[in-house]
Amino acid sequence: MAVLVCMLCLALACALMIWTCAHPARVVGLASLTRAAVDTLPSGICLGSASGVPILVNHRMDQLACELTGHSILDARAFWRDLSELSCARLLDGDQLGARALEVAAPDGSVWQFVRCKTMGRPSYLQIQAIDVTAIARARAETSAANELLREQNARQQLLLQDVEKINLKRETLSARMQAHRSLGECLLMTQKAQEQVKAGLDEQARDALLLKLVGRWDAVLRGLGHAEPTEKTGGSDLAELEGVAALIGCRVVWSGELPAEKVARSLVLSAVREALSNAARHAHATALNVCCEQQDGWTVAHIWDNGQDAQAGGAPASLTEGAGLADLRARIEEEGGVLRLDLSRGVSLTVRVPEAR
Amino acid sequence: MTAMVRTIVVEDSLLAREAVVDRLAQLPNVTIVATLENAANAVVACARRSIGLVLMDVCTRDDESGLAAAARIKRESPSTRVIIMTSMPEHTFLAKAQAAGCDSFWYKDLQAVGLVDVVERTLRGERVWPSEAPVVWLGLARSSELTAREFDVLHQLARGLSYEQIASELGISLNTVKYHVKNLLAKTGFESTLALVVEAVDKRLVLPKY
Repeated sequence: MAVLVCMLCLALACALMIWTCAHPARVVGLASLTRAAVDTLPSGICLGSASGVPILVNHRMDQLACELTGHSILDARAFWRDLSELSCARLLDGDQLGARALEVAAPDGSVWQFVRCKTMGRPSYLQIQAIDVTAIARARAETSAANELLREQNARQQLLLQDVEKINLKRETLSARMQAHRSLGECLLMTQKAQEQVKAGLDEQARDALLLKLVGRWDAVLRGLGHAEPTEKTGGSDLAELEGVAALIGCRVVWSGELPAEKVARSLVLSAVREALSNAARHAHATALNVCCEQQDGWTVAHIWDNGQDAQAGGAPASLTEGAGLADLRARIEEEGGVLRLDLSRGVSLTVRVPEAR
Repeated sequence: MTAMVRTIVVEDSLLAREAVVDRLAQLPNVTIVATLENAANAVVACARRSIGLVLMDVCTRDDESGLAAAARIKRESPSTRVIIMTSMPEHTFLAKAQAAGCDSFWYKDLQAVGLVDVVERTLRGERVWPSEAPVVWLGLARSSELTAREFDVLHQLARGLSYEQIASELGISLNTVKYHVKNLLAKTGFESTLALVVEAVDKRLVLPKY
């Protein structure tokens, strides 16, 4: 608001000065009055001829010129050039009238916006205004610092979230160890109790049953201890589990080629295989699903097709709609920069193309 | 003779899985046909609609969400009963499980009612649900003291979104987001949203992946 009022005052003062310069004979008294008025303005103003000869420079502008260039304004065009070359000056965008603006930080910490323009009409004058924008510049710097801080915090937050998985794994390991300690403790107590029972006198059958129970318990605990550490998540058992599930639904998976080793690509291909298995069992009544993986210039291409009724009949399925499962799969693949293609010429077959590393 | 219920257990922790299998062995009408680590594989296992019961963990292998898998199983095979099992106090899990159409929900280690009881009642057609998520301390506040909207904002913060993005995601103004963040910090006593989010994730009160 303050800047707007300043601009209005400056505009009025400039109009008055231009009129004064254009009609010097009539307004000699008025000119001195105008000069005194513009000297009291909080903003700087300089009016010069088109060739740069200064006609009017108010007190504030003179003060600024001395602070920034070391001398008063002798030539308005040269003054603008000197301003532009200052290391503390920043060029702002010009507007449609050809005005150009500079933002200059003065040695006293204040920030000034200098605007240069040519007046309309004949003769044309060169006008330079200086407006105090210290408060705006300070607010902008604070906002920028706050944004930077927020960006840093977001980046750190995301890094920390990436570590959550590791933390969970460590917690699980700790929990597994505690569980192992508890189980061992229970077994020891059971053994001690059994010893007492045997000492107190047990018939042979009861003793055998007790021993068998003890052995079973110890066996279970020792087997558990062997697996107490959680396994790494990129191992081979993801495939084994999927094959086990395929066998459960009576649809064997026939693999050819190598699955990608890279985690994301592998996970996407396996997701596609799951989707195809699910559809093959539910709709096509297939007994085998073929998966052929190829590596091509940093991409994995997987062709997946089943031996279901439509594939054997050599036709397309009677009705096909892309349900939530396929749509989710497509979204996941495309999110990683891959492509999913459906082919309906012989039953339903999927082709997945995923980048191996992003 | 009672019909056997073909059952799948999805649990990526070996010891927890064995404990569940051990407990289910007490039930004469339950037969476990597979134990899985990855929830997405359970969807495939239910494809022939021959599975009667699925005990589903929420956070499973390869970051597959048990809740998403349960939703799909219930959509494609509504007669399959699904029991969600979790030890995490994440505040949205209960609502998500209900929205997914799951039959029962069991907090491992935290609930007075035992798993065998939950399974038996679920198989009889009963829906067994805890009244609320376990309460944990978040700084100076109990999780029950936070409003649903504050939880929404906390959830989005944990996704690493900026205030502007949160406002757009939740359909509220930037000032409202700041207001909720201010209240969260005031209630919990944390000095920064970063500390707040780290604690919330560490306590597993907020797990944006699932």
